[in-house]
Amino acid sequence: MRQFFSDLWLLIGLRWTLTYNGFRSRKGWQQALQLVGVVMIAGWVIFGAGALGYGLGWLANHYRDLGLEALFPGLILTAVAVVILFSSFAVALGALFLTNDLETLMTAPVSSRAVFTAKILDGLTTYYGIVLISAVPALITYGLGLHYGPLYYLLALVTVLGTPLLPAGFGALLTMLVARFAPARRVREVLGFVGAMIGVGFSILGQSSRLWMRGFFEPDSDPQQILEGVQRLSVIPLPSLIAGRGLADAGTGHWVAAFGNVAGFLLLTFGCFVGSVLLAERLYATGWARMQSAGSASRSKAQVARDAANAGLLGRAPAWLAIALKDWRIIPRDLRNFAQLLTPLFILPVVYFNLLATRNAQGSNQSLDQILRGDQAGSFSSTGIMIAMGILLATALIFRRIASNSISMEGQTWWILKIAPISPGELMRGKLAAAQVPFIILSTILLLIAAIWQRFSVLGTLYGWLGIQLLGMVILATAVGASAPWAKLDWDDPKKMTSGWGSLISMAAGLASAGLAGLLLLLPVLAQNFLPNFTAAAWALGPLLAVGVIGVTVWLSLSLGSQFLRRVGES
Amino acid sequence: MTETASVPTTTTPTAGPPAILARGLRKTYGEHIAVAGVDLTIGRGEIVAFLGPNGAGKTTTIKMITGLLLPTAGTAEILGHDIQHDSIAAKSLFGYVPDTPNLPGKLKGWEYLRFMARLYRIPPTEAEPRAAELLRLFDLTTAASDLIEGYSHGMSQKMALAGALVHEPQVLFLDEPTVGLDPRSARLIKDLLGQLRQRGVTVFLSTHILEIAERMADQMVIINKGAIVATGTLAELRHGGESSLEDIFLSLTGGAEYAEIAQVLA
Repeated sequence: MRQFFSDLWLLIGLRWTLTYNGFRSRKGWQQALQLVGVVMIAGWVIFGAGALGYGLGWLANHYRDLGLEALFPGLILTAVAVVILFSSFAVALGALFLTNDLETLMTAPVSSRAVFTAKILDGLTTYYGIVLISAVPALITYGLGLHYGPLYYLLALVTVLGTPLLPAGFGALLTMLVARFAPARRVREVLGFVGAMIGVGFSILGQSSRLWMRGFFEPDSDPQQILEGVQRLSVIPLPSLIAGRGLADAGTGHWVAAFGNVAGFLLLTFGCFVGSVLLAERLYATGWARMQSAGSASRSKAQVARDAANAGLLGRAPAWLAIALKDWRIIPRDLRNFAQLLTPLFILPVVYFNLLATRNAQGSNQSLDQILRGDQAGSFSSTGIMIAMGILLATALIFRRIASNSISMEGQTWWILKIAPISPGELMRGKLAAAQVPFIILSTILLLIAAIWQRFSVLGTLYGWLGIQLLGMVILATAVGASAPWAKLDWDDPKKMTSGWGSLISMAAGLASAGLAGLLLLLPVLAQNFLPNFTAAAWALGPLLAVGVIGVTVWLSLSLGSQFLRRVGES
Repeated sequence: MTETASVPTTTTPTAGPPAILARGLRKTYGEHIAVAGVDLTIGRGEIVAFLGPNGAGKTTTIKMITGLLLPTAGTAEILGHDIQHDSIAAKSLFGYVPDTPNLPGKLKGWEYLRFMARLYRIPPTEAEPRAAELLRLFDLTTAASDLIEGYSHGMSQKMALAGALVHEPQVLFLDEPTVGLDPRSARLIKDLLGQLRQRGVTVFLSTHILEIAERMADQMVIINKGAIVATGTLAELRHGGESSLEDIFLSLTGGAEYAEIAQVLA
């Protein structure tokens, strides 16, 4: 046992040294930026958690007869435990199956149980960080709200120290179970995807809060009834809820019950943690062996023959298109990559259906003949312009993600493109096509549906389509151009592909030139409304100048990107 | 045999420019000199073993010749085409297999080979049978329907080799091609080298396995601490003596000191 703790301490110390060295190796401004970022995020979470704790204290006090006082601290601890459980699953998966140091450690003369436990505890600093910025302020303000005494705060400290153990152990156990049935790399991809989905779900819930909160706060709704429903959660035998009861007992001066409940929580959580770790350790060898021998799936002869016979477009395309075709295969297959497109993909229908719901007074009064004739007076409407702009921004937002990571996404396989006999221009063209072609398809479909629904004129629709394609091209081209100088090839987590500066600069350049070109495209509409005498001149000049601005920006962006390609992967 | 730092290798060239020509290739990272000025002239149709201890500059040299790294100074040419200034012509003439076969894991084997064929502008009528033949040769026909991420190291290595051969290069760079291969696959590589020599393909091979160099290579180039310390055929390196390649290698690269260390440790 002494050897175990000695080895464990050694391994945890090594991990901390590695983390510290990683931080030290960064430049001064990067360290400062990281610290500022962490402090800002922590500040927001602490503020939110503190407000929540105080609010819950107020509710418990206001509806004292419902007995919520003993439930709320437990709910706070449960919510934090769920967050830790999710992150511990990802941490355990990465630390136990997807690191390069494991073979060295497992063959070193240190206790293998210590290696395993050290890996499980790998994320403990993060977990305690989560507890510190969420559970601690929420429990403190909850206690302040209910005027609890010092024993509450003392036991709250003991409780939060025990909180991460159970989810950490349980997360490791879950990892072992999943790794018995599925390859670890695939699990990580799915996990990344699920994580993104949850993030997007919360984001959408937040954005649509006005809709769903309406039911909650309707004048005829009874908050007491809702809180009675919440109160029923207290029957669930969760260790965190037991701890919460103990804290409330401490606050209300029931010392014996307080110590009993908190001791019960600590025994349960520590027992489950040790049990989970021991069981997970037993399961680990099987999962590891499975990963070492993970082979390819068996294919039928018919499938093999089909693949050999069907060259498809990839077998015939010119080099630049082959690059785009390759990207279109890789992005949907790699769920981690695909997850990056999810947020804008979820935003798109929200924006689009809101746009479609906008009433087009001008269009709806037009006859079919007027629509087909497309005379200038009936060609444009403010609704049409707004819809075109909405479609442009919502679709460009999706495919800009592909464009801005177009070089970084090559990662360790960059050498293939770098030694291939293709010009930088061809490569940039291929990368632009990878983002531009799906953009054209999606924006065209969306505009066509909107045009039919809103009965836009043919000329107006055509002009709108042209505007969307031109402005979309400039937004995507600036992102592709910036993807070369700020390329990050050494990534494993797709989030690390993107450079903040690269995104910022390309976004600013793209929006500036798209804004200017957009104004030039709108010149005929503006002239039609404000300077009717100049409408013909505006028709002659506006689109021409817009095409000029877009052409120059696209050419400049791709040329600048091409210049940097030689340097990509040098360091 | 030549035994001074940075001495050019000159193998018997056939008509036309040499297969590989390097002049004063140098790569530095800040104060650290990775390659200290390499001169090479490799004739066509030869197998050249590029030997050196770990960190000697083998991979950096190959990466500069193939255009993967920009040299701090010097030039490299493939069959007369400068890799930096006439890069497309130069790149279309060679194939390269890196020491770690990082291939796009989310592509299937077939898709990877077709992608490579398109990058090298091989017409589908030529690329398809050639890819099928390479897959058969490397025993990857069935696996070619699967994503590359499911391949073992050896399978990935063979797929990388197939990708490098699909455009029938005139010069082939192999960086540690036998690492991680089972004896059968390693033997396949050796047989392949023989066939490539017969077809007139120049092979520039970096390896730690001296047996392969001894048996297969027409020329040896030994690099140590970023500089070439010896070049020539095995007979030339022996100076008419009977020393093994291992002895020559160790004496040139300071490895003889290891014998002393071994004695101390014993």
